[in-house]
Amino acid sequence: MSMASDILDVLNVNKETRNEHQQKKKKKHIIHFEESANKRKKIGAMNRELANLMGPNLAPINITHHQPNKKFKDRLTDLQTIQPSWTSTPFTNGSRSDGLQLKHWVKGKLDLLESKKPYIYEKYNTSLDIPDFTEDDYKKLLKDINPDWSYKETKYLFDMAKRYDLRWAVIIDSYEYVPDEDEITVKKEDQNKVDDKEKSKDDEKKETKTYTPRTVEDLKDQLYKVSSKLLNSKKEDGVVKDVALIKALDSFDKNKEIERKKYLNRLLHRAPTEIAEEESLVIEARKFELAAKKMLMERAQLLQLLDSPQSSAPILQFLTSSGLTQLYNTLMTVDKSKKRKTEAPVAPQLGPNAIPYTQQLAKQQAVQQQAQAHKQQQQQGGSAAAGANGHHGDKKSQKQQQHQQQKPQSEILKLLQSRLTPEEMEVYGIKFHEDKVQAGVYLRSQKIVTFKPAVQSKVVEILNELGISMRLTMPTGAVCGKFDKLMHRIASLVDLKKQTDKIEAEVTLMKRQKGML
Amino acid sequence: MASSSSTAAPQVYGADEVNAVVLDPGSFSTSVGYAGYDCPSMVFPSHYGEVVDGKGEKKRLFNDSFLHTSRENMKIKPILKNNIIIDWDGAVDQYNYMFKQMGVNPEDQPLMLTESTMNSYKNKEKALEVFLEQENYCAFYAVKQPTCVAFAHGKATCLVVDIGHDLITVTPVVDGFCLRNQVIGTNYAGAFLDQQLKQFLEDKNIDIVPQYRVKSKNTMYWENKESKPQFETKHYDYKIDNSVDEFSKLRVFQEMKETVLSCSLDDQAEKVPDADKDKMDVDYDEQRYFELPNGLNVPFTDAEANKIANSLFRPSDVLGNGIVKGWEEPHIGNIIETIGTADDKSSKLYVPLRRTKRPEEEEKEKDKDSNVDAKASNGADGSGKVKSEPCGLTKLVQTVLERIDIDWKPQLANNIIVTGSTSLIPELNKRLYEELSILNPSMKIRIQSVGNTVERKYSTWIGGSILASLGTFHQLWVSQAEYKEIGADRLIVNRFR
Repeated sequence: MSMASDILDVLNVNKETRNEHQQKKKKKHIIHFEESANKRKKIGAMNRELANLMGPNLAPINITHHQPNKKFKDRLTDLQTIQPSWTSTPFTNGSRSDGLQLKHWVKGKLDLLESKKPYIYEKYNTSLDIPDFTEDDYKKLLKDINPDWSYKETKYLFDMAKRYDLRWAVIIDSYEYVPDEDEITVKKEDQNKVDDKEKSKDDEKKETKTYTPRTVEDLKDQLYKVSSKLLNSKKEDGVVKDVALIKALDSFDKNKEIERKKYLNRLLHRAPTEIAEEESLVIEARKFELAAKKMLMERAQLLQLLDSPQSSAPILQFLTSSGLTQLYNTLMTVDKSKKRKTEAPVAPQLGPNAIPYTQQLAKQQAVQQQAQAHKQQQQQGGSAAAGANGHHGDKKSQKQQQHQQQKPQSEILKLLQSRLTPEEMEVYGIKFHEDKVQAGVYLRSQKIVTFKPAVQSKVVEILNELGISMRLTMPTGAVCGKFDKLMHRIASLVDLKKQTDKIEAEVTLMKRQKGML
Repeated sequence: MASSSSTAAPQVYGADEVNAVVLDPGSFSTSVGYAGYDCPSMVFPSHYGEVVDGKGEKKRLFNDSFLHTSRENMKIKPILKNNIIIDWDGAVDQYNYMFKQMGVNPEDQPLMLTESTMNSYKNKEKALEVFLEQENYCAFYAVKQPTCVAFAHGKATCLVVDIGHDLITVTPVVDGFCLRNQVIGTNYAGAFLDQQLKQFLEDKNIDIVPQYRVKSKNTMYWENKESKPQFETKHYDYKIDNSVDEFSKLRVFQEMKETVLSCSLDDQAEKVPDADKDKMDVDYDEQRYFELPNGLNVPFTDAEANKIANSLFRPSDVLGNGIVKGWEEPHIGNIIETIGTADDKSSKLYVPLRRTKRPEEEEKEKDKDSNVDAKASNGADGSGKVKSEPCGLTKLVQTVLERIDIDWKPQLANNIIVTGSTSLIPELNKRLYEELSILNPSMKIRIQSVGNTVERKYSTWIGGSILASLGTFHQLWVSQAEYKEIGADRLIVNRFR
């Protein structure tokens, strides 16, 4: 309603006059009110806005197409007057030559239907435009196209083509041309005239052969060639019409057609094993394609990484400490966005004191190493060699790291070993870890190794076969260790099995190929 | 035939009724109705009863109910054999009887007749003469039955497998045209099953007593060869012709086929219980009983029912063991030669060549060169007759698929239409599909048949009904004027080949 009131305000219609107006009509509208309310609910989004524009003033006339108020009987009488009668009228079909009159039912009265319209289905009576020729044409132009075709047979072929609208399957099925006796003799004479005397003997032999049935390719060849020649000869003002069509007709090659069908036949006659093999090959190929794509992607990423960051922007903004942190942050986010292999989980850093001693040492080592590597790089110069040398440095540093890491452990070890016997250590559950240990408390069973889902499922399967559950009932240190070993063995065996299977399959394939050769 | 092109815009409403009458004579039943209806108005057996009264005058009876009761001096004669009208006088009488009941006005209503692709020239000539001259129809058209089936299924290009009473025919239809010379078929159809059922009952020492001979009956169950039915025979004081009995039995067999038979997917299933049969511990759950008109219930084990139905696929199995009477000569699919319309010389223009090849020749040629187009190499006709295996249903379809031009093959294989009453045997389609899929691993085989029994039985008529009510079809009718002007000879060559 707000919209309507807005408009009224614009038009300077004050509230009082409006209300008066409303009250006048109210009595009338009381009856309609419910109806209109109902209607408004039904009106769609766009219409509602329009209806709002109408405001409180309802339209004087009910603007609807259907007339719900009309009485049933009235509508019936309307029907009677509007509904046209159907008359059975005779009609003739323009595509018929004999003027056959059939009767069909047409809407409307007989006297009104006098106007002669063409039969509506006449327009579907279409036929192909196949060129025509006479015997003279044939003798002049077409005789040399295919010497083993006579005028009569060519004419017969064209008739068939017209009758069946070039449906070759039907044409070849009902192609029943039988050459006359005299036709063959005529052909013989003709050929004798044309050919050299030496060859005439051979030709006679050929002619004594019976008429060989035509193939679809023969028919197509003859029809297309003759048509193309005929179209070529029909010049209007010295210009050949239908150049595209002639080109298409000339492109037909009988031998290629036969070859195509041969290939198609071979394709359809594949054995099920061949089909399966083909399918598997296609799948393999697709896999390769995917792998290649993935590799390309990875390579592109690597190249991007190796690329030195472009310094298009002025360096000044990074000189301040805040600028530096900003740069660091952006680089970090870029780094994160690139999906790298997830690194080994690092314990949350609470503060410098919270880091275990070993880790802190390692960190210091790493910093030192980096400094060293940096120095080396600077010494070497050469950007290309830098990468390789960096790797070298890393390896070295790792070795050193390991070496130095073992030192503090061995100190503790020595201390403990001096006080406890190995048996006692086992009893107390004291254990030395070779690799990094996650900070915090955890259960041994949590630390049981897992593999890739594919491998894991197989391992679990084998464990089930052995009757060992994945969840250990008594996960003591020793049990967990053994279990870990077992899992690793199973995994490696599974891997081995896979490899051998693959190789065996390849071997059989090679053997088969050799055998086939 | 503009209407038959597959690319017609679907939104155009193509029908224009001219009240045409559609007549579809089949080897078992003949159906008539108005074009545009969805099922025939009348279905009559393709037989008639001929009663000769005391004065020697013949009277023909057509009504189903008359034919299944006996009358003095009545003989029942078939109108069609192998889907081709053999008794024109009876046929015309029957058709007129039906048309009269329907209230057909020949001057206003054109008539469409469905015909076999193997219909002879003489028959076509006769049909034109009968309907245009004798019966004075304003227009007439004879359409091929497989074309009708294709129309009824809404396919312009398909492979029609019609399993009827006398014949199984496999016809490739391309754009609504039947490839007449590619048709193959056998007589291992409904009548073949009838004969097997008959011999099956004879083996059990069971005599089929027609319904009209039974006055009252008690239900009995067959247990061994000595089991006798309990019923009272109705006695007639005149001699009843053998043909009446045979006709009555036809109905019994029809019911038996409908209720008892079913195909199995593999032949192994039917052989295993056979071995157990000697031990006489037949599992009664596996048995189905069929009650004969005289109250005797005949047990059919699944294996027995399967064996008979499977003979459509492997006629050699039943023909090898005990000979089926009337089917001793193995039939190898060369139906055109068998029915003998191929030699039918009609006119100077119409001299057909023998194009049909026997499947076993085909295979020989295939061995020589598997890539040669079947059509291309059919110059050599059968020189040495090799005793060959009778041709089962799958083999027939496969042979047609192998012979057809390679360009059409996948499309036909994808549109195999199975129709005809005998195809209603359960599991028949499934078995056909499985066997064809194994034979053609690289092609997508799809078998279609309507689930509706009426549509399956009368698909030929329905197709004719659709065709005759199309607006575009009305230019194809052969009118009386055309008949007089052009003459039957050229009409048949040009239009009804």
